[in-house]
Amino acid sequence: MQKVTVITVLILCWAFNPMHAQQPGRLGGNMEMNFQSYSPDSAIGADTVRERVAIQSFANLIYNRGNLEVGARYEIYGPPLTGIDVDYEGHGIAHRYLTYRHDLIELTAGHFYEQFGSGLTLRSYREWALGYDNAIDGLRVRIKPGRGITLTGVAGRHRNYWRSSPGIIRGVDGQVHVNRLLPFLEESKTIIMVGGSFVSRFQEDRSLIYKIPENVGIYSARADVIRGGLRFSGEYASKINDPSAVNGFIYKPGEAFLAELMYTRRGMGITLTGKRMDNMSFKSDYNATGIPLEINYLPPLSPQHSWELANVYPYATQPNGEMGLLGSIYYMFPRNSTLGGKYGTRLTVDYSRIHDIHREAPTDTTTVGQPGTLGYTSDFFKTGDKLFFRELSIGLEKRINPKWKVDLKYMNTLYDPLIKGDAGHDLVRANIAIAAIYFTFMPGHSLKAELQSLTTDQGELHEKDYSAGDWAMVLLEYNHGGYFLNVRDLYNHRNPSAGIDALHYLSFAAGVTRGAHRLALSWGRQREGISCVGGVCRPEPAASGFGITLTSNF
Amino acid sequence: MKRLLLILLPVMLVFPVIPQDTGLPSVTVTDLNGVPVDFSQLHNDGNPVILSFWATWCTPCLREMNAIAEVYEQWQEETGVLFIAVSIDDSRTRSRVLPLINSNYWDYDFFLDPNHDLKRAMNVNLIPHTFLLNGDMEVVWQHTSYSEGMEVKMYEMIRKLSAGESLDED
Repeated sequence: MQKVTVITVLILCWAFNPMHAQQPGRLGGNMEMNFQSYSPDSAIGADTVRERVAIQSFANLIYNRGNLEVGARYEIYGPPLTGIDVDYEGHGIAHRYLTYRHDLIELTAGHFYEQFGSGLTLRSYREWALGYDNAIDGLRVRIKPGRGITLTGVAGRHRNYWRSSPGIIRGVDGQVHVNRLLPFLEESKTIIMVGGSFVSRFQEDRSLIYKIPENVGIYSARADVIRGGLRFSGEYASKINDPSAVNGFIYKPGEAFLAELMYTRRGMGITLTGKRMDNMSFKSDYNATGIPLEINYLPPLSPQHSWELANVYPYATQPNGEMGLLGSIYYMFPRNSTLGGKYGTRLTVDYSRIHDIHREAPTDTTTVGQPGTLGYTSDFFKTGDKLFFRELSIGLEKRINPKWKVDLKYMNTLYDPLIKGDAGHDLVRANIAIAAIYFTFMPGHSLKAELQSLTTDQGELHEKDYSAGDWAMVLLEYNHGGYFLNVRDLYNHRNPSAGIDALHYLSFAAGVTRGAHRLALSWGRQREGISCVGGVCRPEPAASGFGITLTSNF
Repeated sequence: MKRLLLILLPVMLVFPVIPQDTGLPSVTVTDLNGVPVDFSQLHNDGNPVILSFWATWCTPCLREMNAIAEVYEQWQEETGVLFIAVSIDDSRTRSRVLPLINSNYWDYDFFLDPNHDLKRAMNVNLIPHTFLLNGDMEVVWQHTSYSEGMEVKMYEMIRKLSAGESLDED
């Protein structure tokens, strides 16, 4: 509350600053409200929710005047939707900041989001839909001391629901656009950018068993090189010993390597990405597990899918160790060619393969992963025996004529249920086929139909797994003048779990969009699954009931 | 906290305010070659601008951009409108942005906002989110979501803006 008072006083002083009395400033914001009612539905594994209804909402306000910006976000969870962490329950000002900008310097006091490089050393961000917010509450300074150079310094603690993280985060980052810094390279056909960062966490050692390093540092170096259609981008990061609940309190240093090679020109592109992560979880609390309090960001290597049944087996980064490759091809069969037809046909092919890393016991007397020891040694270039994930996906997009358009997708996925936390299960092999058809039958009136199928080779399961087995989905949607209406049937026509019969998940949705205001209503069943945005995934329990989502921007 | 107040208070009273050049927030994004760009400095020589937030994994965004691509040349000739597309892909999907643009033959002005700084500053909730800006780069209309045919309505407004007529909101 004290902080809020301070910010208010500061805003008032600045508002009455006689030097800019003639400027009114600019006020804007946005909000979202999610409401869901829960009916017990034992058939789909939806438990009774004691509160019967959940409602969560936020409202953001940003006020700009000249080079000053102040912002605050109010959040309320009464209680949060199922699947969102219950620790959010409550309400209050979850986010407030003040930013001053000048040509040379930008200063933020309060909450802020920041990313260094690709995020291997530091990334704070927010995904409302997942209940993810690791904003840093502290101070950030960004300086542009010369053309092409940006330096950033941060210090503060993570937001931890309605509290702060026990660990303090301090970090610096430098990014140099070499061609802009050095005038003689300005006209060069080769563009070079380099950067580096160092981040450290301080947390008091309160362990009764282990001696925990109180200052843990992580550093990285990165480079981007562009020449014509050819691009390379790479980052290497290393972390000193950081025994934590995530790595099982081992003392091995961590390292991460991410490299991307791309060739692209009009009509096509090829990319190859390689990645190796070894003991790279870095949190602002060494005792924390799960999603919250991540200081760094370890991007998953598989493509992100937007179709329902393509997300039954989503990959999530294994922070304790993984290595893999992703190759992608993008190609447009030109217009007026055999395969291109009148409008061209777009093809996307992705192949990704992710293994565990190789691990060996560090000495004769310790085992791999033994707490309180080095844990293991690992050969950088050797893959582990375990295959976590392999996926081939082929997509085709084709406009047939001004009225009809078709998207087709085929995926073949091999998935270790360990990725979603179910150790000791067989690999799942899934074949997924998707067709989306768009039909504009009158100007402003359009229909969308989605047909999706997922089949697996899963044999009988002894535990109940509501996402297992074979699925089919039909969705029909009508759009006109900002209104939409859809009906969806998701059909689990074979579930190998004992005690789960074939099940329909029927749902209806309708909504209206007016400018930047959107109201959507839904009713029906939602399947149990994993919801992923960016690199973060969270389990989403099954639910049955009525939902309202209101989003607005003002 | 009190110390912070004592330090910042005189600063707040003295700091001059530099007038904003445009109606857009002063947030740094990068172009496709990594060159940092202050978003508030963008302009289209007094002509209207479409500003759209998108991502490689957002299928309605891609449908909107493809639909406008079909008519963009004609729109530009008639009204001088510029389409600015800001990708919010993070480091997971960032490498998909450029090949996707090229394989679709899109000719828009592209920027990257990987940690959503501009998205937050523009108060964007969901994507696709499309803003229409007048020649002074002030937001005159905005819309979230996309369905087939929506670009027709948008073009009516662009034509009005270009002709200096007022927009009648729905």
